Amino acid sequence: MSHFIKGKNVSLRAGNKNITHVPFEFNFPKGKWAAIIGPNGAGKSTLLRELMGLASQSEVRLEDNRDVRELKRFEIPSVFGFVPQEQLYPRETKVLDFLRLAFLPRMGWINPLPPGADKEINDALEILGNLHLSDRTLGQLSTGERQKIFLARAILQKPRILILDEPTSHLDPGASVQFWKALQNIHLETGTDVVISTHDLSLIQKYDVTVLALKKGDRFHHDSNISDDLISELFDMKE
Amino acid sequence: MKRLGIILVVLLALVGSLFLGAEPLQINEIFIPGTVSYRIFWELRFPRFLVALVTGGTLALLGGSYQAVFLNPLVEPYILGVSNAVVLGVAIGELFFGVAMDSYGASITGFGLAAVVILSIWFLYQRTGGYGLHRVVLFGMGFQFLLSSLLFFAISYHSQVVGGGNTLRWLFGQIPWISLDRALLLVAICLPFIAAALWFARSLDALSLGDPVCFTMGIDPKKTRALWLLLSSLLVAIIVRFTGAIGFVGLVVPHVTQIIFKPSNHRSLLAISFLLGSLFIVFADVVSRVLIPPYEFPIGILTALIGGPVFLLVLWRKQ
Repeated sequence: MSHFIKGKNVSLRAGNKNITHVPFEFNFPKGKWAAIIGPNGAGKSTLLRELMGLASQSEVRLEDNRDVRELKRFEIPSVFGFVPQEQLYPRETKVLDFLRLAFLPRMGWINPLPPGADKEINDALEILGNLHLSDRTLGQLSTGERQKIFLARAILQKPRILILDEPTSHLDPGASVQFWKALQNIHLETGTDVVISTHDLSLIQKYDVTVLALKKGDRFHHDSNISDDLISELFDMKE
Repeated sequence: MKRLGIILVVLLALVGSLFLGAEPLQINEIFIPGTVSYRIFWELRFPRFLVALVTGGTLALLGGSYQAVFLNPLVEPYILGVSNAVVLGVAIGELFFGVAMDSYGASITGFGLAAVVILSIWFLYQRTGGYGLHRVVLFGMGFQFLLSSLLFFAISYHSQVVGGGNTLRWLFGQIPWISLDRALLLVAICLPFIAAALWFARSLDALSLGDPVCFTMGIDPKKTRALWLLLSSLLVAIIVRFTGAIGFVGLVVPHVTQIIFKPSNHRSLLAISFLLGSLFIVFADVVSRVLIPPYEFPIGILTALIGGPVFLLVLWRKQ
């Protein structure tokens, strides 16, 4: 079975400390979303960094078997698009200007915006289902709208793989449903592979995903599904 | 169109400011060597104007870049303690070793102490693996407190035991009367950096979105930030050596620029901040000279006196 990301000998570090006791492996098959779940401090965000070669502790290989750490800097934008968890954004920047930043890797230091960029932006906004935000500033958007705009920025980079770090953690249930739907539209439209770290277990129930559950830096469970019993054990929910 | 208008207005205002001062100028005599107006213009006002222009512009530009580099809207160019290091180094040299404040010896003590601070911060940043940004800021603030308390100790000790000294006024920040070639030296030092800052401004766009996003945009966040820190610290040290620590402009001007002009990216933010910052300091300097002549109002106090209310007004109107 072909994979879009495969981890071998993965170990995670928090600060200067190894949190993984036994290095583990994982395999994300193509065509299915990969969901990384686990309690706070399990190492989900750190694993996402490893996936992209940003933390560079572990051997992580792409579809063509290349190690992510060997990617050239200029190749990275076409491989990974990242949707961050933290609410870090320029409040006063207009949505259109923000989305134009997605073309920065293609523009280099001094080139102008490529022709057709604004058309691509409009297309992306259409797929996401909210057309009329371009003239507002990021600070004026609702959290749900803003998260979709972050998704739009990542996808406009035209990456092969989208990485999302707890994208719905600040959204109410309705906005979360909307967000997953938008993500699915993107996935169907562009065929981009998707890795999501999340606490939102509705994702696993609703969509067909590959689960990688982490607990305290170690692999807890890795399969195409996870039972309710394992979930309550994973999150220490037994009373 | 709007942008061109702003640039024109700023340039006109800057040129106009050259004709404001305690002594009226005969405009037709400015280009006639030997006249009083010629000397006032070319030996006094123009060099000082250059220093004010470059200082204000550069501090505002650096302030705008720091907010992206540190992912923190409250930082300003003096946050790392570099400015205090220069001031303390010069003050110690003058107060205790009799090194004149405007001599090369004072540059050595000032820059020496600044180098210690810059290298410490560099070392700390490398050690935290590039992810301890808050610690770098806190570390810099610690330096600031330490150095400023040492400075106040040095001054109070000196004023009680020895008395006098020109240093106090320089501490508050002051655009100096200096010769044209020294003013041009400052311009020559700052210009390449300003050009580079504008050229590489897109890296700030990437940095301001957080390290992982920056990384996926093909820009190494750690290296980029380290380079900005190093170059900007050097520049702050040089400017402070000339003018003392003029506050406020580096914090407030970028914010005012953001709120009023909503620049679409960091290149515009830095460029507009530079223009507004230079305009702000040039005019603050004119006011400081003409307010109660021949007494010169310390410009560092004036910037806060003018800038504070303006800032509050802008924030208020934004509500």
